[in-house]
Amino acid sequence: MDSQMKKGMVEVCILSLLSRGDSYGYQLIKDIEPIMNLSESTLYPVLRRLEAAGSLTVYSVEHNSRLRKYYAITAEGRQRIADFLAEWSDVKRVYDFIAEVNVSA
Amino acid sequence: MTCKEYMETLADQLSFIPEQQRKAILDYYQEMVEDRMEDGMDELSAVAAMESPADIAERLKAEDSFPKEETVEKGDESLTDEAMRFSSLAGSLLRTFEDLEKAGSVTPPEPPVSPEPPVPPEPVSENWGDAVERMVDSSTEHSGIDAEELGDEISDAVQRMVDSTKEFKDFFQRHTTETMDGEYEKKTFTCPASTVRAIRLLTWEMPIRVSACEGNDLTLIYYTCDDDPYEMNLDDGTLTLERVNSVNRGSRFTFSMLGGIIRMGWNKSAPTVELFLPRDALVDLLAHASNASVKVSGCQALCEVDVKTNNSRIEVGDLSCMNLTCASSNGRLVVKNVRSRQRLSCRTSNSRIEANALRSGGDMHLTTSNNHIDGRNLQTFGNLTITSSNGGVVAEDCAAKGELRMASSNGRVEVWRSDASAVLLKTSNGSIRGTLPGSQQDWAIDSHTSNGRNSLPKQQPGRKTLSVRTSNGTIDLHFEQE
Repeated sequence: MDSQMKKGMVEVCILSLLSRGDSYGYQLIKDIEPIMNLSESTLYPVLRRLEAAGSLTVYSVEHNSRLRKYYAITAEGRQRIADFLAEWSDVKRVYDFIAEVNVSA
Repeated sequence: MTCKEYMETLADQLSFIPEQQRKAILDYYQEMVEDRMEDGMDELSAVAAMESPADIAERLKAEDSFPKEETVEKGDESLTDEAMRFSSLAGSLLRTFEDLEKAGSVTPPEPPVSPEPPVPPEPVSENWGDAVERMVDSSTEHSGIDAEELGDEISDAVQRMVDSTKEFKDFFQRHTTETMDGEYEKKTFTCPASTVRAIRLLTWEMPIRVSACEGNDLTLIYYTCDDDPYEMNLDDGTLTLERVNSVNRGSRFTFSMLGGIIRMGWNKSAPTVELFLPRDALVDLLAHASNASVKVSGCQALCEVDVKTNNSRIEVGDLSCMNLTCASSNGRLVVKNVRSRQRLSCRTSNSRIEANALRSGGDMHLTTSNNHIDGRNLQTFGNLTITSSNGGVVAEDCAAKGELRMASSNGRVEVWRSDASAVLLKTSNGSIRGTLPGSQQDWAIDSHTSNGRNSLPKQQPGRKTLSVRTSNGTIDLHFEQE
C-alpha cells in the first residue's frame, strides 16, 4: 500500500478504536492487531498528529500509583471518521464497477 | 535488561530531541513497558518485547525534525486601555463592547473539547528532502557538479551531521571554496525614531523580533557574515535591512542554503534580528522573514504593519496600529490584544489561528486551511470574517457592526454570545452550534441542513439576517432570551 495512504488509514483506525471508548497506548496496539501490526514507535507520531489536528485529546489517570495517559476522541475526530467512510464509499463503488467487469470470467 | 537500563539507553539515544519533547516520549515508552508487565509479562520479557532504543531513535529521526519548544502564553488578557472612539456608532453597540471588555475571559457554557490539550508547536523548518532538493538544484546550476552525486552525498551528510560534526566539516570543505565561518558579526544601529518614517526588515531564515522600548531612539540589532550577508540602509526616512544577493552565486549560494540546513540540523537557532522601537514611534513597519518566526509586540503608534513569513509562526501582541496584515503558510498565527484603526487581516494555511482581544475599525479577516481558528473577544466596526477548511471555526464574545461571516468545510462552526448586524454561518459535514443575543424573533432566519437536527426554523422573517447552512451536521443554535 502506498505509504502516504497507509499513514492516513492508520490515523483513522486509531480514531475508530477511540470512538468505541477512551483508551491508552498499549491497549490501542493490542486492539489494532487484527488489522495491522503497529509498533510503539509507529503509533507515537500518529497520536501526536491526531492531537495536533484536534482529533483527540489526552488526559492522565492515576493507575496503580503511576500515571497512565488516556486518549479520547473529539467531535473533530468523529468527523474525520465520517469523512473517511464517505470518501471510501465512493472508492468502493468504483472498485465494484471494475471488479464486476474484470473478475467475472 | 531491566526497565531502568532500557529507559536510560533510550534517553541517551534520544538526546537529539529537545528536553520537553524527550520527556513526553520517554513517558510514553515507560508506560508501554509498565502496561506489558501489568498484562502478565515479567520485567525482562516486557523490555525484550520493546523495540530497541536505536530503532526508536532512527524512526523518530525519520519523522519531522523536532523544533525548539516555545512557551505558549496561557490565559486571556483583557483590554485595559481606553476604547476606540469613532464619530458615528450606535450607542448600544458601544455599550456591548464595554460590557464584553469588563467581562474579560469567559468560559463558554459547553467547551467544544474538554479538557483543552496542550497543542505541540508546528515544525518551524521545511523538511530535509525539500531543503536538499533546493540546494542541489541551485548548486548544480552554478558550479557544474554532478547533481545526483551531490544530492546523495548531501542527503547522507545531512542525516549524519546531527551526530558527527567532523564528518560534516570534511564534506563541507570538499565542496566549497570557502571554509565555513559560521560566526556572525553583530551590528547595532541606533537613531532617533523621529528620523524614520518606515522600517523594512527582510530576512532569510532569521527570526525577527520587534518590541517596544522607552526613550526616543530606536535600536536595530542584526547579524552579518561573508556567507550570509545583510546590509542596512537609512535613506530618506526609510530604514531597510536586507540580505545581500551576491551576483556571483556559485558556492556562496550553496553555502547559504547549507547554512540554513546546518542551523536546522544542529537545532541551533539562527541569530535573531531585533528591533527596539519607542512605544509611540509613528512608523510603517514591514517585517518579512522566510522559514523563520516573526514576533511584533508593544508598539502603540504603528501605521501600516505588514508581517509575513512562511513555514513559521507569527506572533503579534499588545499593538496599536492603522492597518495590520499578517500572512504565513504552514505556520501558526497568534494575535492578541491588537487594535487596528482600519483593517486587520490574518492569513495562514495548514495551521491554526489564535485570535484574542482584537479591535478593528475596518474589516477583520481570519483565514486558514486545514486547521482551526479560535476567535475570542474580537470586535470590529466592519465585517468579521472567519474562514477555514477542514477545521473548526469558533467565535466567542465577538461583535461586528457589519456582518459576522464564519465558514468552513468538514469542520464545526461555533458562535457563542457573538453579535452582528447579520450573521452568516456555513459549513459542510459539520455542526453549527452556539448562542446569539436577543430572542429568536429578532432574526430573519434562513437555515438548512441535510441529515441533521435543526434547532432553528427553516424560514422566518425578522430584523437581522441569520443565515445558517450545513450538510451532514446538526444546527444547534439558541438565543439568549429564550
